[in-house]
Amino acid sequence: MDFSISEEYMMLKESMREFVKREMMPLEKGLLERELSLWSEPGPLIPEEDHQRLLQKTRELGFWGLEVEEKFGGQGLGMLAKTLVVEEMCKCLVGFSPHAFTLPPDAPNLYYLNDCCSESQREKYFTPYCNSEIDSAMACTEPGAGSDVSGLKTKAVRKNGKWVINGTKTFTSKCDYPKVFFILIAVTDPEASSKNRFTAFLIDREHPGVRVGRETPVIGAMPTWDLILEDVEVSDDAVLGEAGKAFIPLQNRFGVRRIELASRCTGMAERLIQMMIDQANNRVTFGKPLAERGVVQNWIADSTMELEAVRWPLYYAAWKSDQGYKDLRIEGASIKVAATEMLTRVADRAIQVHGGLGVSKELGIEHVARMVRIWRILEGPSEIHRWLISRQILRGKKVYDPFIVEKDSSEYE
Amino acid sequence: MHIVVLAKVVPDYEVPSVDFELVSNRAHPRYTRMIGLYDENAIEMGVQLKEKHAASLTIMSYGRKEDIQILRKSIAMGGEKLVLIQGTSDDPFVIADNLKTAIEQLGGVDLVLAGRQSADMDRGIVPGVLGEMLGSRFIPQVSAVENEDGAWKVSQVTETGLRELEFVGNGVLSITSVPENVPRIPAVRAIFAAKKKSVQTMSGRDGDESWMSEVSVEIPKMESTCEFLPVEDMNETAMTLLKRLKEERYL
Repeated sequence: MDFSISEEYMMLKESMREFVKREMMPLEKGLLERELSLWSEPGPLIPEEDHQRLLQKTRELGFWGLEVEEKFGGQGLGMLAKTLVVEEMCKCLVGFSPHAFTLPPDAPNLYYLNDCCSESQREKYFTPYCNSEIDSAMACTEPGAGSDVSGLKTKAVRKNGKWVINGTKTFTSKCDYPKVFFILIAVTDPEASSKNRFTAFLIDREHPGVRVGRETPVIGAMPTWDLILEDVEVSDDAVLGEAGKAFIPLQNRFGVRRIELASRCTGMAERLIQMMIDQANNRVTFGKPLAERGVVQNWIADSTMELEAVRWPLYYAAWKSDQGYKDLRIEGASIKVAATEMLTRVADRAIQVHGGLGVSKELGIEHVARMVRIWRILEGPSEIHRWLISRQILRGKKVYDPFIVEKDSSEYE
Repeated sequence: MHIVVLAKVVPDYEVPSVDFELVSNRAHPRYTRMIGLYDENAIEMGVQLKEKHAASLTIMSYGRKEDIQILRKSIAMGGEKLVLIQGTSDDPFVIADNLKTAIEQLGGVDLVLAGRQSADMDRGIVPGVLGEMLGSRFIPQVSAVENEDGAWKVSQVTETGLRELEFVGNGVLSITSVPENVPRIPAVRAIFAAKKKSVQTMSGRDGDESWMSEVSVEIPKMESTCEFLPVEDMNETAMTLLKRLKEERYL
């Protein structure tokens, strides 16, 4: 087993680190101030001109579509490269908060679209999406159905050669983006098993019958909306993949999102641990630096152990994705739970080490603590993931096997 | 036009001096190593000249073989070739002599750029000695270089402002940091292309350093204390601050 990192990957990390230092860190203070007024004055979390500048510069540097195939304008470097870059980017609150800045195109939908788009959809949605000309949002959750998709009520029925969709989605993000389309999940065969019950549709926000409903304020900085669908008529061209077969690609899409979410957590955890180290070495109480207090030492040690216990399975999952493995349900679920719960604990300790300053709006640690709280629910709550992992293992009647034997290239010559 | 930029690998310059630890009179090996701060300014300036004049750009370094992976960044920034002369001396004459030999072997070098700090424990002597050895003009503290009709036009930062200089022929310039030569961040494609560019390694010559022996190297311990003044009343705080500064004889 080789745990060394290639020179190129190390340089990738350093390039993003330098970009964060120069371009993103100066925006942090403004982000924290802006967040205070977000709900009374809705809108972007960082000024639009700064957002555009970050987009332009990251594009010039080639950070867009790191995992997108070169034929679609990406770099074709895969998920591990993306993971390393996202980790660096998320050491800054601007990169950590998806509502502030995300490297286009947003990965999970990208994989889903790449796997399932027809040629006409590729031209209309996928290519502009890769070029960040349009954005996409997932419209799956409903008031009565979240993790348990069997409760979905939005229905698409065939009428006169068209699909007619009715229902209400909730917690749909990005509804305020300038150009957005939805990957909408609807029931097309209520009697079928989960694997054959749902169909995914690509629907523009401006499509007749689509209405953005009320905004639901949630903790963290990512606003969400209801999405109301009233007799939305679409042709077969709007079906993403095969009719009735949305379940499996949807699960695979969540797997990719979970890898990305975990890398956000490990990146920020690294920064918080550094803040804890600095505070422990500099803050003197009762004649001694905090670094000499056993409990503070334990917080730093525990945080480091927990971070590293997540980081390596995360790299493994990203690497496995790059090897062409699409079923990453166990890996994705494991690291999503482990990373979000790890960052929850690290952020809590970081707040405690910093005392009053830790809960102030100046350091941003409380921002992290709130963001990560929502990530323990978003993309599937921890309990569902644990259930998924155990169900897979119990069904297989064997312990999880992480080993992938190295391919002997001579065998294929 | 052929430009050579001298770059060296140094211990992490972001480590505060108060934390800097020495082992056998040198930086503790645990510190991350990176290209010297001003060397990156020189590389950026070299890349800009290369782009403007379609020049050749070689990055040259005196150091250890392990430095190659760090120096590769200079190639990702725009250098075309990397030459490493292997050696471990801190003596500016030994370093300059090795660089001179390598530059002469390259042949046809018109301009040598170097960061204003050098590998001789930050004394900044190497570029000057190298200029003398090569028989080239040497100008320190340079912030800008232009080539017009075969003549080099150079801006030099002085203590009180800027000096414009001009010369014809070969030159060695030590570069300081200005907003115009902030090093570019290597782009993704350039990073992956850098690994494919050629790296030439040469064995360095040891010099006679017996005329001087290093007795000790120390970094002075700096101690600082911080006192927080209450700020309920700004006038009162200002008065307290003034009083404290006078008591401590800062004023």
